[in-house]
Amino acid sequence: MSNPIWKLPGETVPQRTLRGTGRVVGATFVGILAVNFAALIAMQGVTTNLGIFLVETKFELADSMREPVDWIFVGDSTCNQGLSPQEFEVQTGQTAINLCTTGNMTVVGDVWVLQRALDAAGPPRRGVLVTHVYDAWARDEETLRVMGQRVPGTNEWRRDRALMPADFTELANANVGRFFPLLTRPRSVDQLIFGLVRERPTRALDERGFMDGGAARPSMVRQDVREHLANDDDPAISELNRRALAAIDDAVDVPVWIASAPMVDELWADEGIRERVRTAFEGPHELAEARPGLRVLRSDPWRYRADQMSNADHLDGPTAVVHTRAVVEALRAAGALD
Amino acid sequence: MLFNSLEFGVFFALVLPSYYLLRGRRRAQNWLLLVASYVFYGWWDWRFLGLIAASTVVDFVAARRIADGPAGHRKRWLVVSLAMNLGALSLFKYFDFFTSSAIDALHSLGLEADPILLHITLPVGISFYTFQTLGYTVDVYRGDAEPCRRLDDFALYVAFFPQLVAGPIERAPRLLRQIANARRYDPGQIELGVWLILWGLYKKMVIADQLAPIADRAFAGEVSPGLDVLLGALAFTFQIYGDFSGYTDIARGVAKVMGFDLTLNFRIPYLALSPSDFWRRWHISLSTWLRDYLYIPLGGNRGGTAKTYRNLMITMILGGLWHGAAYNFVLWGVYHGLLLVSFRPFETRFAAMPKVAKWAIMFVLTVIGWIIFRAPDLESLGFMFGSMGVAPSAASLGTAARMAARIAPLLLMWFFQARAVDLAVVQRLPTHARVALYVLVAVATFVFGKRGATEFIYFQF
Repeated sequence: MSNPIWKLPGETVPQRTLRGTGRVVGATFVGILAVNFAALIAMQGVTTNLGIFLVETKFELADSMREPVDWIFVGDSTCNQGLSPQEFEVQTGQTAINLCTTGNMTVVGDVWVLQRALDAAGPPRRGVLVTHVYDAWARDEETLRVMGQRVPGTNEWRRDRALMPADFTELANANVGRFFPLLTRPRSVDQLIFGLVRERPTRALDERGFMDGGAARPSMVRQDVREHLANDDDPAISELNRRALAAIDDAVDVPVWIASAPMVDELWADEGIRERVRTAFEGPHELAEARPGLRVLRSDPWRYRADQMSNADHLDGPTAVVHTRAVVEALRAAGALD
Repeated sequence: MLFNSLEFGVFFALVLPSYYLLRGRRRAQNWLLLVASYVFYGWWDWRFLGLIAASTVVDFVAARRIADGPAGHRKRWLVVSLAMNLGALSLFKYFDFFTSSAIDALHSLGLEADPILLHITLPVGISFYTFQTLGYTVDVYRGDAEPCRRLDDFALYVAFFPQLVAGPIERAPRLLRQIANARRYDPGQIELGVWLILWGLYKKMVIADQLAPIADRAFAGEVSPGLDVLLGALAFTFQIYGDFSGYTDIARGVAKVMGFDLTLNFRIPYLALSPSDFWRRWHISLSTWLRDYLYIPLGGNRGGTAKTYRNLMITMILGGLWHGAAYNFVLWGVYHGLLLVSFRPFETRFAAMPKVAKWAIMFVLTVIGWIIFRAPDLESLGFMFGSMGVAPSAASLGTAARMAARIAPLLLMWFFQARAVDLAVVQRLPTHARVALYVLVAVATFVFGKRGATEFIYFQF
């Protein structure tokens, strides 16, 4: 008898009743929801990825501030591992704290962490530096699902002194992130399944909030460059981020400086990327023209070699010091340190 | 609007209940589906709705004239339909390719010429719906299909959203009849549809999208020579299957839950035992289209060996070119034509070989074909063939493990499907096992699937 495996297969559909099919489909939905909520319960109280670790740590750092500083750095992960407050102080004699988190927290995340710092220690004496990579300005409500992953994150909207209140859609998006980990935290569920959930990831921050980016990774840089070049999303600033920038400006009396992130040379060499960066910063420039408190420090990225970076826009540890000095120079040239 | 996007989820969540609310009112359901299909298509680029509408009207009128007009006019109207469809295809898909190829040829002869390139955006799915409508008018001309009497029914046949942009390429006697007649809501088909949607998303998001970076790095020459190159070729072999068959599964699943039955497009192609067997299993709606509307009209195998070989080569080269206006697709068509031609004289001897050996030979030949298909240029092609080996690098083990984790469930499914000679073998499981499997596949897709809807490879064809 010949092995049936090599025969051309067909498609045989068994007889079913409508009720039976309805039960199967219904049970499948219930099963998926059950797994979702089981994952949610299992993830209570544990941190499952570096992004959430960063957010929680920076929020705690903001809460723990006891006295005002001269400068508060807020922004994304390029700034988290790109700006060293210690080096900043060495160069300027002014104190600073790095409260930068991740790009997916958007500028709204900057507002949240800033309002915690203001509540804990009062306003900064010299300025706020907001740093986001060019493709982070466009992130919007959809990103709130990511932000909502962090349970206290949703509650930031409801704080007594919320600098930036949320509308219904924004709250709904944040709550989707909070309650549906299958949708918004797949990597964490993955880690949960394989028992890799840790209380805290191993990467450490110094007491001023700076995270050392570790060694350069040129192969990761190349891969990341490809991904940047393949991305054709509209980089223009989202309405949500516009509101958030305005909220930061309203919250402090000192100037709010907006800066671009570092970038690897080979990415900047692409004309399309240069155009995307220009488009991304059109919104911040317009806002800065309309609001005296907002100023664009630099919209073109600071450029570095691939062997100084851990991906296309994140610096390695040693280069962060170099970058901090470059930012200090830019601030000095703009008269911000006087 | 991609099947693996949130937009499509919302779109379908609105369309499906509305469709069922109109149950028993077929005409209203058809109008709903037509509007939904135009929204679905217009989501990419509303400007191309005019093209699809023009194609619909021309072929509708042409088919009516072919069927009802005087005998002398029949061929004239067929020519009108062919000119419209092939003209649009040539203009949008091939004009720049042939123009720049001609300029290159003139340059090589030392002649200068200014290129006239249109740089037109390729309308999504144009190759699919053009072949579908072309097949319809030819069928009516041959008397194999009745002309459609209602423009709205025909418009839905052309634009039916589940299969509009990447097939299966449906024949009029099959899909048009379902559109024009009362719907059959078979609960077994509906459940199979739900399963196909889940399994198709898994194939796309977990297999294809997760293997894509491995293949991309290899074809970009960014891996060490040796095993990593071989893994890259295998990754693309499974990526393109997961991508295209995943799309087809979702398309068929979406159609089934609405009471339609679309053509089977894949029958475990990587178990093929010969080149002709491969084409009975891979992209079946295209291979049978090419057979019925190109190979057989060219004479098929009726004119002796030489003509049969010529016809096979023409069919496969045009089949390759159908995939895109680029030399790699032409080369891929030539390669598959040569495979068909060179296997033909040895069919009897080949048939006597052990099936496992035949399968292994055919699988290797298939992978070679995909390397030709995927390589963007000669440099990449040279790197892939020149650097492939079994010597591992430090990254090989990890890459192989990641690939194995993605592919293993697919191999398991193939095993059960092939052993049962039934692609719907999952439907034979007891109820609780089916529910557990559906939940498992859905959760695995959520957890291990690549986020951010990535386009299906076959959309560009």
